[in-house]
Amino acid sequence: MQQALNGLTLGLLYALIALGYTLVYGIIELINFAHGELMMFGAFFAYSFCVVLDPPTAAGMATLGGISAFIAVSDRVEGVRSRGEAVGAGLGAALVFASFAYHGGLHRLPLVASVFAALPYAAVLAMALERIAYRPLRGQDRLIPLISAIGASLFLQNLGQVEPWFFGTERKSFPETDWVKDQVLAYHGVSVSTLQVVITVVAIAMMAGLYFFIHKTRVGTAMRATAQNRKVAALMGIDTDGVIVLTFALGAVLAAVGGVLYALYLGSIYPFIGYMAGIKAFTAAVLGGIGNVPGAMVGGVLLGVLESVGAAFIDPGYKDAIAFAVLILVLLVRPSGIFGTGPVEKV
Amino acid sequence: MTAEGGIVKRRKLGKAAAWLGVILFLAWLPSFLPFSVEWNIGSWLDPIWLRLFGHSSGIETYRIDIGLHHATLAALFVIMAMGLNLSIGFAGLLDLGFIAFVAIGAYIMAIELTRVPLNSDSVRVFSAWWAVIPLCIFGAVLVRVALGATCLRLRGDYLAIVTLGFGEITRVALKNDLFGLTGGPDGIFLSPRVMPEFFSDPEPLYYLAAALALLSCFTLYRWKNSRAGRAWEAVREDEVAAAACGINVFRAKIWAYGLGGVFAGLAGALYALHNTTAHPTDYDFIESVKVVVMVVLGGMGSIAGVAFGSVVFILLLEVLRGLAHYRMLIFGATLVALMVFRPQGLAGRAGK
Amino acid sequence: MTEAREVVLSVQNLTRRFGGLVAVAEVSFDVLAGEIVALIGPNGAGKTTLFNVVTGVYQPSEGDVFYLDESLADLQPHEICRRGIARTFQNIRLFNGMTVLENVMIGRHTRTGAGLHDALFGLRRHRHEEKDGRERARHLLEFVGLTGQEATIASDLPYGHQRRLEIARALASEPKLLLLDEPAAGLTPAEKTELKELIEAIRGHGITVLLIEHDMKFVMGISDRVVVLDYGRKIAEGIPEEIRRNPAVIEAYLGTGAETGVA
Repeated sequence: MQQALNGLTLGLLYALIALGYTLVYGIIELINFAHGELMMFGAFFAYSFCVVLDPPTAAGMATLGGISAFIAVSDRVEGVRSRGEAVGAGLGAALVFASFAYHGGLHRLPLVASVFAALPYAAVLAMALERIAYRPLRGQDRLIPLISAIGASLFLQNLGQVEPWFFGTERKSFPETDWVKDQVLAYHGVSVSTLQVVITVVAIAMMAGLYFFIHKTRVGTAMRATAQNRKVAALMGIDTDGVIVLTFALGAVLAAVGGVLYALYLGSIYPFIGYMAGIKAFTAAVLGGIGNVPGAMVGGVLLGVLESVGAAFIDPGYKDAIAFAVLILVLLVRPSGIFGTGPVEKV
Repeated sequence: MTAEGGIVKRRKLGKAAAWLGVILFLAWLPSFLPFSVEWNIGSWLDPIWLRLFGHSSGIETYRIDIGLHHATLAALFVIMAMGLNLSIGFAGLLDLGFIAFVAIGAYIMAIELTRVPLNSDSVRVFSAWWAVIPLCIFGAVLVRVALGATCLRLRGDYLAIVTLGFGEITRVALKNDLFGLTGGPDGIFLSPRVMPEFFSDPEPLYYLAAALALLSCFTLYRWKNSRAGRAWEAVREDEVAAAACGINVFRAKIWAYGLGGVFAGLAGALYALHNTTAHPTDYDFIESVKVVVMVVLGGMGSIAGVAFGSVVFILLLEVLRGLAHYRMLIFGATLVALMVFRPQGLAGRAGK
Repeated sequence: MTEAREVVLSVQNLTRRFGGLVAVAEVSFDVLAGEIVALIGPNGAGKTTLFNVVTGVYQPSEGDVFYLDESLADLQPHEICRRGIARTFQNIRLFNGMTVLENVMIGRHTRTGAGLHDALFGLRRHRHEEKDGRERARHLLEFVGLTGQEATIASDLPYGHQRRLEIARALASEPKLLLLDEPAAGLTPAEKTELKELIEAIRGHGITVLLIEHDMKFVMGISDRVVVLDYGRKIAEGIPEEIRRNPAVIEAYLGTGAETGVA
């Protein structure tokens, strides 16, 4: 019972991260392999606001934020204005992002404020990634962007380890977060920690927000239209590049929040954190039927529960293998995931 | 007609000469190795570092050591890359867990070699090291065909993630001492006592690996321009049209995927001998990525390109070893740049 | 025309549904040896679906298709090809990265059998089949008028040539029955005339042809018989003159406002 409950919270985290995969895949049919690393850097931005960093590390994060902001903003502005204005706007944004990140890195903010401050950084990083590593490859054989994504993932993962500008390989933890383990509820030997309550509330709120955004807003409708048929959406006057970039940003924001919660859940944060979490979240997305938003949520929860319960019953050493075993089994029965509808090949 | 015949003849001669050159180069390679250079990078960097950061760079010299060891490694990776080339390059089946099958070969070899000396009761299936190699190949092919039979009906991206998942399952299983045979997180160490005497010197292994690498290339070359090779290519290009042309798509995929296991098992067996150990960390996801990169770097489906790409890649990793984790950082960035600027690889045909 | 000819293809009471949509509904007709039969109908009438059922891409929901008295319902596409039915596609599906010659040689897949070991050791079977296959492929390319293009990458060919290459690839499997899905679509009038001659030459080699086409002039000029589908149902069947005058056909076309019209 306790295991199932733990699995539920873990699963909600997977779901939160899986949404990024599913959203991106739904629109451009790309497995964004670097999504786990976006999550990692999103969480690290929150961490850098939350603690007092060494000046070189603050400078490193500021540079990363600044460069990403430059690429993201100038690219967006270039769509509507001249190149000169785009560069100007990009430089302005870079300056704002970099200086805020630098000062934020050297000063302490409360945890919640740090998370909110980190969101724009996660968004611009994802936008920059899309611009550099994926957009030039659109229309190529599917393998090509996938390999580019793996490359981007390796790059970011190892960038995070560079010292002194980034974080090295050592595990770090968010300061003053002992409260997360506090027990708020105990019933027949099943206990619920504060963190589990927070995860549940935040995850469900964000998913509800996402659902509302996709189904009830103009931009969300544009997203769904682009996912259905990019060419036609473009003909209808939708800025499909903008929609794609927005999708990446949205996924990264969800992942950043998920990343912070995941780091709190593990009790530590480190540059490799995105790898396993990313792969598992992706598995969750596939499990539910990739491209399908409610599917990602169900897949995440299912995976989390199976993993926790399975590890307790079988052998904790095999915990990381359970996710994939489940994936293979599910795909054998339903080749498009639980909620997926297979694409009907047009002949 | 005669002029055309003359050109064909000259081309054939040219090709033969190129092959002869490669073979001679491989035969004499050991006498050129080890090769080592050292640069005093610190003296160039320090003035810049002092001005920028106010302290010295902390880097003194940069050494590059290339030994026979690396030549053997390169040859083994050529074999692996050829196996994966068969799946990805020929048939278009993206496999992100290829190293798992190499691991199967390596572990079978290690288990067989350590059996007798460790536990005199157990009966060693084969007495000679070379007789174990077919067993390694058989094991890898068997598992690969079983996985293929269940998963090859999946679409491209799903197949990629399932193979990735299988790679992870294999690694976790090996780490958890599967069947009590794989030695857990420490792997299986091949002490000098159990290592075949033949490999007490590094040179025989090098020659064996190089010869098998050449043989692998030759095999793929022959298959590429054959009925089966064209069928694989057709399946890669358009499954519906391939089926309409009478090709049994599923069977073609199983063959391409399963035969990749021959190369994986073979390379694995030698890899264990080369490392004198079978260790779970040698078969991480990143190793699978490396083999994929070799295939893509060389140009999917190309044989000379992939062979050359693998050698260059292994040597490059070695040259960059001194850069610590900047190495993988550069690796990642290069991968992205390569895809953006030359997605068809070094030898591939220009894009459509 | 007096002798009783063999029935090559017999579509019997064929129905194919996709969820609630009935794409093909209780269609029956026969194709006799040596005939050129055209399958016409407004867009969405179920013509291509019928082709896909015949070639095994889809299974029939009800009814059956017989080829020389053998049911095709449970056969895979490659097995159907092996029995002697070849096809082309509405939206041209060549192996785009491969050369023209390679495309045709793939068409010979079912007529060859060299295994991997034959290829690896360069055994006689492999060498013979390669040489023979290349020669036959060259002949076919000559037949469809693509001589000299052997080494061109398929996707680099002009559109009209791609259509011909697809036909050559289909012919390479030595079919008894050839299914052509809108072979004249997008061709210039001159190319259409050449195509007509090509199809007649194919029939001259004893190959039965079933084709889907929208261009009425083309259809009326080439076919022995015409089968008309509308909303998945067969509404008429007969020689071109009858079809031209058939009120149900005229209504189907004018009623849907199809721009093709009846020529």
